[in-house]
Amino acid sequence: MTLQLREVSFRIDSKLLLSNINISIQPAKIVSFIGPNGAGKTTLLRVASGALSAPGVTLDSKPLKALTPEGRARKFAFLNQSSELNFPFKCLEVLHLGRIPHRTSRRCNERIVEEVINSLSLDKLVDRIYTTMSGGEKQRVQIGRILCQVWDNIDSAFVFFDEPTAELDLAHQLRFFDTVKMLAARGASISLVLHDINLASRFSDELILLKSGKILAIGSPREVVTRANIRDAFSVQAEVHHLSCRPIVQANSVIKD
Amino acid sequence: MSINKAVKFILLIFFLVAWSVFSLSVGAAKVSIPDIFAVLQGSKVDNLQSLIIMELRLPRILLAIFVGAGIAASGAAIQGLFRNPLADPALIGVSSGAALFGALYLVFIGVFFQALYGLALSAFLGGLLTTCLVLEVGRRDGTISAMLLAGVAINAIAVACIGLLSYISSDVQLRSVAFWALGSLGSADWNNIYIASLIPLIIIALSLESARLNAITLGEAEALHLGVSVRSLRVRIILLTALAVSIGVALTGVIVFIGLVVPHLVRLTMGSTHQTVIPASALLGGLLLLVADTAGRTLVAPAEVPVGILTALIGGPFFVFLIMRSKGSLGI
Repeated sequence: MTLQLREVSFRIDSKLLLSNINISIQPAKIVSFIGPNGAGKTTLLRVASGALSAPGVTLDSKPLKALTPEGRARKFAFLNQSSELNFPFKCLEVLHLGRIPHRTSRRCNERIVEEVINSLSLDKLVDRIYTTMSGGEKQRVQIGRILCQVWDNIDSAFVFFDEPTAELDLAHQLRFFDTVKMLAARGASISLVLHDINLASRFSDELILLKSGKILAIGSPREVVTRANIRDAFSVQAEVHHLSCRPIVQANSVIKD
Repeated sequence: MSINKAVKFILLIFFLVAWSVFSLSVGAAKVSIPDIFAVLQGSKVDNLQSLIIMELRLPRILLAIFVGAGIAASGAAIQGLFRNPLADPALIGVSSGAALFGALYLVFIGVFFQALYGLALSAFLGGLLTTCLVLEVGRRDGTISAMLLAGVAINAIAVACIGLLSYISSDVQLRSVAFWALGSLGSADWNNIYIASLIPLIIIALSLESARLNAITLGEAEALHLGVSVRSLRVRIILLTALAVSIGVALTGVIVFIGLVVPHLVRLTMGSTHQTVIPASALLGGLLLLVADTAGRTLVAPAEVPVGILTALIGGPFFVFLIMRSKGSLGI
């Protein structure tokens, strides 16, 4: 299954947030959207996931809009940066929320939740109350929830993360990307919005560099993360090194206009 | 459902039935429990006792249970919809909006058509309007505190308008308008019960939205990604809760804090999924209002304390306690 965006533009009122975006999101691949604040990364993620609807988004050449909300929810899972959940749900109950779009039996749902708990090692958290957990623990539970949403058809699933590592410490970041790699290995398409170029470069198969709603560069991390691209996108002077074939950026100074 | 949860549900139902029987027996005139069962079976023909049980106490008990259940279940659903454990139909102005429209009906139209249905309908309109207004404020500003503040303003406006109405109304009207400000079950009769019997249907309809309400507690964007059509869910919940609350207001006046406190107690003891919270809140809300009303009419018998005063006296401090305990984690 391939998610295709062809000549996609998106505007709110008269403001053009995305213009002429052409990308395709493939199974078993990790794609990261990078770029400065306000470049349209999150908007692009929302358009691609169907949360915002725009013409030109197709799933296997059928318009994404043709899917019912429930049908889409069975294939597409989306994790926002932070959750607003402030009711004292048990972690186990939060995981079960991922099964809402499905009409599967209770036994099947319990099996899926159990499998997700095992694969993310959430067993210590299941009986805890969500509102009493730390940021990192909440994040793990939320990731578990969206995995429960697409676990039974993971090889044809699209999983979207909006700045998933923003509030995570180093260990949690690494653990998060282990999960992402595991999902991709099982055939899921992963799309991420990341602020940290080095994380994006290290863990992505493909990078999409956005500026002012346009694609500035697209390709492998080596092709996208270059001095020139970083300068054009972020207006900073940066050094680019390479560590085991992955580029690393060190920003040195802001370019004054 | 776990065994633990099932036991708690059974306990709730048991207490509800037991307290109903107790409430039938106590009051200005005591009726023994064997006499109650005799009257209920129709085998007892003591006119006075049968009148007290069948025409006074039984409708009043049913009304307390229905209205308490309706307010508490609505509170649970509204808290889920607004993603705020502190939302309450009375707190955000729905009840007072309904009361104002009810009072308007009584003073201006009720002179010509003294019909209970018109009163209920008018209260429903008021409740619906205020819910939509509060929701719109919340949507524009995007914060829950804006919504609660709007509720404070609506409450003040409604109380002021009801006060103004009291200047232009006759003595009889004044008495019924004043009755709203306090909330009382004293006017219960079988006609009230016929209207109130809509409430169990509304509670069932709310229960059917449980999974979608669970989804929306994660946030509206998350609910969309779980395949929930947030807009239509919001319309359904608003209509259903406005109807339940307005029926309650039309029949008993404004009863505060049941809608806030009860879902909270349920979450504390039985968990937060709406599959549990809505039916358990209904049962506990019915039970609490019944207990409060029984206390209200026996404490100072033969006079009685309007039940709204009791729920406010108990619920108010509890609410302050909740706010202090939450230490800013409630998102307001």
